[in-house]
Amino acid sequence: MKNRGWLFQIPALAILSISAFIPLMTVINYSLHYIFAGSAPTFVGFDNYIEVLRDPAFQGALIRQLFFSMGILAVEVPLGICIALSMPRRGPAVALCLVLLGIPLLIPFNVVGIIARVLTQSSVGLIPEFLALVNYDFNVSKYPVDAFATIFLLDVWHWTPLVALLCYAGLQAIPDAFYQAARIDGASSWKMFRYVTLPKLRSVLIIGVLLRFMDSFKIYAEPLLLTGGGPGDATTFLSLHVARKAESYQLGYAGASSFIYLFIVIVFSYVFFQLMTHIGKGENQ
Amino acid sequence: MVDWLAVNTSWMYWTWQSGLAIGGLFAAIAFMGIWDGISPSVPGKGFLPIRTTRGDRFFIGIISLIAVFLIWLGIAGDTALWIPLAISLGWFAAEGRWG
Repeated sequence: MKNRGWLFQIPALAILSISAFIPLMTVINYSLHYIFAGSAPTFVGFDNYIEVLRDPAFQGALIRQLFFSMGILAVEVPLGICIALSMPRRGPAVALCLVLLGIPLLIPFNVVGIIARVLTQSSVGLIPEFLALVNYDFNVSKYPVDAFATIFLLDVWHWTPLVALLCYAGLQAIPDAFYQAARIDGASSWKMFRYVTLPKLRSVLIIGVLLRFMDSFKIYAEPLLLTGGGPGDATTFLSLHVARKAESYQLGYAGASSFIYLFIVIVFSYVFFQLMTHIGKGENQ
Repeated sequence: MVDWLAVNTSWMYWTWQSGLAIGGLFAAIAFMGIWDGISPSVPGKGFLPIRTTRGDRFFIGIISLIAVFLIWLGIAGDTALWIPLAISLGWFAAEGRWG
């Protein structure tokens, strides 16, 4: 074999087969069976998939999840770019900015959920008390919009710094010569951003968008701790829906919905990757 | 060896259908790898909006096949499964050849 690189992939493939292939295949096999606690599994073919695809609860969770993930991307990516652009490029303030941006990223998901719960608890929380001053009755346990907006803003606070840090690293790697050339050509600030900064940030933005999309699609701890998926099903996202089914020992249904969940993530990630890799490529050539 | 595997992986609830599907998929990936080793694929532009290699088209074909089946199962249930099979295999062949 001429290319010995293949040999170096063997340990990674061995680990991947244990950590990914076996669980994935188990889930796929479960999805083809009717499995309930204590009973012998029965092969049911695609029945679980039909049940999942026609289940209004699954459809609702999927729509909420897509709405949430797209909204997250629409807010976090532009906001992250703006923060990165407004950060100092050199001097002692750089370290301070990086530390401040890093703090939310260090907080675990479950702690973020608990912080939100404490802050939004009706009658004692800081946020309901503050909003009561402007006559707004804020209650995450009662109003779906309040609960959804809280989770949304929580995610924006928690993860925009990641996009900002990625963009900041990308900005630092752009040589000044590009901007000098653009200034000589009389380019405005917007044109420099559009035709120099944004194309040069493409690779870090691809990573940022893919990470944020996949992560937001997995959101679980925050809605669980804040409202338990309520009020009603207002914050029951896909992961919460699947976990509830698995916890109630409907493993066939949970397996089928997990496979569909994974499929949606793969499709969207591939489409995002292709779009972001190809959009604007002609401008650079 | 086969007996040992059968006993120790029984908790995974393997069926011949899922074994055949995953075995076929792995065989196809291995075949694509060997084919690419013998005759490396050059990215080309077909009717798809992106430049693709053979591997890209294979991946898109597999994803399309799953999507067609899921849409069919959601709309029509598990009746006349030969229809989504024919649609997805036809698409797979066309996209693999001209995509």
